[in-house]
Amino acid sequence: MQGKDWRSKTHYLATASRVMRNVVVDYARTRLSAKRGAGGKQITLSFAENAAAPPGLSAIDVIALERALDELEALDARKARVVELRWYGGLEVEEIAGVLDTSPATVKRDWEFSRTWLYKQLSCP
Amino acid sequence: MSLSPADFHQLEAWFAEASTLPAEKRARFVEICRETDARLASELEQMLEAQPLAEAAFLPRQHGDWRIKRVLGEGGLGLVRLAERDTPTGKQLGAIKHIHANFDAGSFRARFLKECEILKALAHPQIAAFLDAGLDSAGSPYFVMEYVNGLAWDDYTAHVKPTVERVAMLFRDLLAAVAYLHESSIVHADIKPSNVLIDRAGAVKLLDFGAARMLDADGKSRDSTFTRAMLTPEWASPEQRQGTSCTPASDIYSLGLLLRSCCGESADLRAIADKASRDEPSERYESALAMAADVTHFLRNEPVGARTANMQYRARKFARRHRIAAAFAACALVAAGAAWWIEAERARQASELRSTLIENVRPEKAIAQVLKSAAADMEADAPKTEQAQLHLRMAQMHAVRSRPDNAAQELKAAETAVAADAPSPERDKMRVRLLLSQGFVLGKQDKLVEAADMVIEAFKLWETIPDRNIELRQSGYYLRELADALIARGEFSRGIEILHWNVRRTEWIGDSATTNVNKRDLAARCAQIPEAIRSEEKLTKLCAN
Repeated sequence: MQGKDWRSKTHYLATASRVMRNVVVDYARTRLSAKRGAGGKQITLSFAENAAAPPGLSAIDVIALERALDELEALDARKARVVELRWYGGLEVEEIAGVLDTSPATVKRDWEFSRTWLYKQLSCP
Repeated sequence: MSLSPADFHQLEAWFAEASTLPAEKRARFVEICRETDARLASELEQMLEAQPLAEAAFLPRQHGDWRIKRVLGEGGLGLVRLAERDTPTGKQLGAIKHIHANFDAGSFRARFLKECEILKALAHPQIAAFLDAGLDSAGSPYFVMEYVNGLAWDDYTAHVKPTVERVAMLFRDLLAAVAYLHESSIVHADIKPSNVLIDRAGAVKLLDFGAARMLDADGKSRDSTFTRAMLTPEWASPEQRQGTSCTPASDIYSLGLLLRSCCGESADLRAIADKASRDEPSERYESALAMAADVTHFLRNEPVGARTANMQYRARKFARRHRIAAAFAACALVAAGAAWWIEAERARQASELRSTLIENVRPEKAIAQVLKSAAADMEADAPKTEQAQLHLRMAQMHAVRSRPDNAAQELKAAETAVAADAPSPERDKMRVRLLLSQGFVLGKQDKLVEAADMVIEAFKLWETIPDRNIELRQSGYYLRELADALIARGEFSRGIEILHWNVRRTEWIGDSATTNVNKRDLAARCAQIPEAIRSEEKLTKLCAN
């Protein structure tokens, strides 16, 4: 019973992560087109508008990340899923391992690699 | 640059290996890789350089002591997210609310800060508590409130399916919280299912003060246009929708809608919900406490004020209507009576009618068919009671077709027929039915006093019949309306006597629940009468002056 509850909870979180990703990206696209219409000013979009990101990466372009994430998905779908669950869904490593039916160690390795690779794609396109 | 899947996996393997190495050995490792694939090695080099920055960039976002975990929902002005912080006794969860960057200006920011200020001032077990507030690195404000892990009111009632008693208990707790708010001169202004949560322990919690407002000393709130833009029309009171005002009575209205959405079959809770959600604010409960008192009455199986009030409300409306047009009041009475009559006759003649009754046919049509066949079968030497029966049915036909004079004629004929019969319990039963029918027809002719006398005579006779076995089930509504009409005209003793017979009637049927309701009605009317007489006297005096 406990296990079943936990599974349905993580399944819910996984769905929520996908939804959140779509919401954030759609929002960014809408804003981007609005700003472009307003005079083509260069803007950057942070993931969450109010995220207190560290200096050096104070604002990541959501659209650029989305593009990189698509690229990652084409190369390794599971890694893209880990990013989605971790970044948009806020799931813990153990929870992600449960959703993807893999080991926490694999999730950790995937996460470590993916976030570095994505960052590199964004900073030196 | 684009990578092939094979390159990508090679890169991944190298990266995993390099990550295990101490920093000073990584450069050497990259050089070794470069001998295999120069292009891929520079990719690796870039990644290793980016690693610490990436780690920082993808850290869980943090505000003050709070680490963001995930999104809980979207409020009017920004996101609400689950966050946690470390305390000496372990991790504490909170719901962090941020103003959206788009809204972080002017009146929106002021609004957001006001919500924070209101929440900070409140301390009640049924209100999600304020925990912390601050500014993020970009200077945008945020605040943190107690995280309520539970179900929204509508999800809870739909999935947990609580009993009406449980609903009433939760509602009483919710009302206590709203009463506390109002005492603190705060109107929530957006009470709806998604803002009322039931937590894991089964406690009710009120949240989201995004639309809340503080009242001035005179009990009025300002800037109603702002509320209007933010409110949820489905749950908002008429005065909020029109933007005219927003007062504690507006919260009472929304609470009424909320209660109505889940009161099930309970007539008492429905009456409470109805009273709370009247269009006219002054007709609603005067306070959340008064509403809570009525919910408590329900829980203790005591008479619910709203129901008596609804009856008084109906009686007042009845009297008002009566003053304007007495005839119209009589029409309402007759309509109720006709329904009873047809029902009673239908029940009694069920087997007789079954052969002729076509599904979904209108009752008077069915009766007409019976009449036709009965007339054909009628023999000259048939017992007088049966002749009376036929006249009675004819009378009913006329009555339901609003021909009271013809109906009275038929009843007269029936009476004559019955009088010619030898005395027997069956004859008396027929006479009881005739008297009741005459009472009904007289009511239809707006002769209320005569109608009452007939009904009273009928019941007196009924009591002398050994088995008293007459179908009287459907007459309650007619009797109550007749009594109310009599009382409204100042015919108190007749009205009370009819209510008394109504009690005797349900006692005989054995319907104890309805008997209790009827007894309560009787007592309520008895209590009102002295007051009514005084008003009447005052009115007479005023008119005399």
